[in-house]
Amino acid sequence: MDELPIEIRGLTAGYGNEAILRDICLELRPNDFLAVIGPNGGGKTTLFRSILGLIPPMSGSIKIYGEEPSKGVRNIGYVPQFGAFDKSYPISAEEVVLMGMRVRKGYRPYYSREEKAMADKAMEYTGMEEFRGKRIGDLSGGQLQRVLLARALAPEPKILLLDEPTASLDPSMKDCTYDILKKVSSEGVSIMLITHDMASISHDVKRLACINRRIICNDRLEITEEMVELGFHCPPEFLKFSHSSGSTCKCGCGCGRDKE
Amino acid sequence: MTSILDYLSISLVQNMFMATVCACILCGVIGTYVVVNRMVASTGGIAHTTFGGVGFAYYVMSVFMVGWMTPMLGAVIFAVVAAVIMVVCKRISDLRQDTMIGVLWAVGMAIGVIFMCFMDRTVVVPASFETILFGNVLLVSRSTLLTIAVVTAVILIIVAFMYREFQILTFDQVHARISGMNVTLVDLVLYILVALSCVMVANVVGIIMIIALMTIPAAMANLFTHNMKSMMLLGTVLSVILSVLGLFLCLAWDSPPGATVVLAVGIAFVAALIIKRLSKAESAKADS
Repeated sequence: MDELPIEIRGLTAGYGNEAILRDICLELRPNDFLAVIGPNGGGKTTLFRSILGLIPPMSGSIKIYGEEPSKGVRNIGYVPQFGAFDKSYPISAEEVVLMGMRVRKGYRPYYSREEKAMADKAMEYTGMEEFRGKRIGDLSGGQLQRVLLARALAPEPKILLLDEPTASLDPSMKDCTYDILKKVSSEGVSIMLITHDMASISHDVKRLACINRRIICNDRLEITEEMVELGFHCPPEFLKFSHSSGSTCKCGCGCGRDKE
Repeated sequence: MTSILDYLSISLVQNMFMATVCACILCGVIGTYVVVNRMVASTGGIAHTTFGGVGFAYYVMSVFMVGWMTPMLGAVIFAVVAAVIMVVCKRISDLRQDTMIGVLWAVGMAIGVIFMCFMDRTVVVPASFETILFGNVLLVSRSTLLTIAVVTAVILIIVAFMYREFQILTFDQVHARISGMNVTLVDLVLYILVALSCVMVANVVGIIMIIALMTIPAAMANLFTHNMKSMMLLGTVLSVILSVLGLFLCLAWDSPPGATVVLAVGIAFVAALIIKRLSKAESAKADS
């Protein structure tokens, strides 16, 4: 049987002696598109940090294509929150995207022609080719988000992890981001994203999980009463997905919708 | 009256200019990392710790008759140890980094004073406190110049090979770790390069004013460019021009070289800020 992209069994993880996540079981399947929702402080970031091998598990196991995170992480493209970056840093969009190639090639003093071609392809894919020479401080939040997405896609990962990919984006930018993710998913990449904002989740997502120290998964894009009880403490009808499939594209990402 | 051209034929004056140019190259290149990675306080801490190394070297030279333990070697040892302590504290310990900077800064100076106090001055005559702290580039010998030039070349080669690693580390540490980088090791190399640069620059402007040359030219370059390589190049060019100007002024006015250089660089920085502000206002006016 083929190994699962991500397989988590009985994971307890946290910082110091404090466990943030308890006995988590979760799997990301081939060509999956999983959204993990949950309140702030519920352990979403801890889950990602564990998968990426940044914190060791207190107990339980994480396998990425059957390997430990330290080795399996090379299969992952990770998109952090764009708000966490120092925008005054003297670096261009192209240089940020090229950084992604280290995941594939490890230490090399210079970027090869092949690496530059892969970075170019990723920038085209996310509609950022015309911004390649721009300093990151001159990019909008949505543009920087797509630069980080291009960096994650440049080494052609099998798994894509996104941390709050649509936070602070306007509805049009959110739609553009999801259209790129839909395209990535259609090419066989398994995607997992985390968000605290239910309203930002697209209908393109295939499965849903709710995390708040424990985790509940659903094989459909549907919130169950247990999920509401675990994560949100309010009636399910208050929680709706709001991806507006008819909005027009402002960002020029090449997502197929008419530009304004 | 002796003209500046007459001065230039003197070997020590030639050493002074060449040592200054080497130090300026380090200030442009390593100074860029200091500025963009917000390491100014750490650099100040490392720079002041070198005083402990100078005192230690004088003590060992005079009491134990160890001739090879020169003040520059002592400063290098203390600066590198300070760099290692900073990285270890940052990566492993819970201690706040600014606390550690404060401790190293003060303790390094105190160690220097104590060693200088207990050294045997009948065996070795040390440089004055003023020379160590505020520098006297006119005292740079041919062998010291050679050391500065070799260390500068080695640092530039390391930066050329580690440029990508330093860029990833200083921009996004999480990505650095995910991509398999040994972030502690790369951070350590960066801090050690800063430490070695501090010791080389101390020969020109002295320990107290290292931080000015390591910061101001790169910060000034950052006002006009937002590309790291251009920042390094422009920082180096500005640093060389302003420092050489400072040295000519020191020869003309017979003023202390280190202080004159730092003053020239400082005045140019204020002028650059004003020019930048005026050009911004001008372009805003044109846009409206």
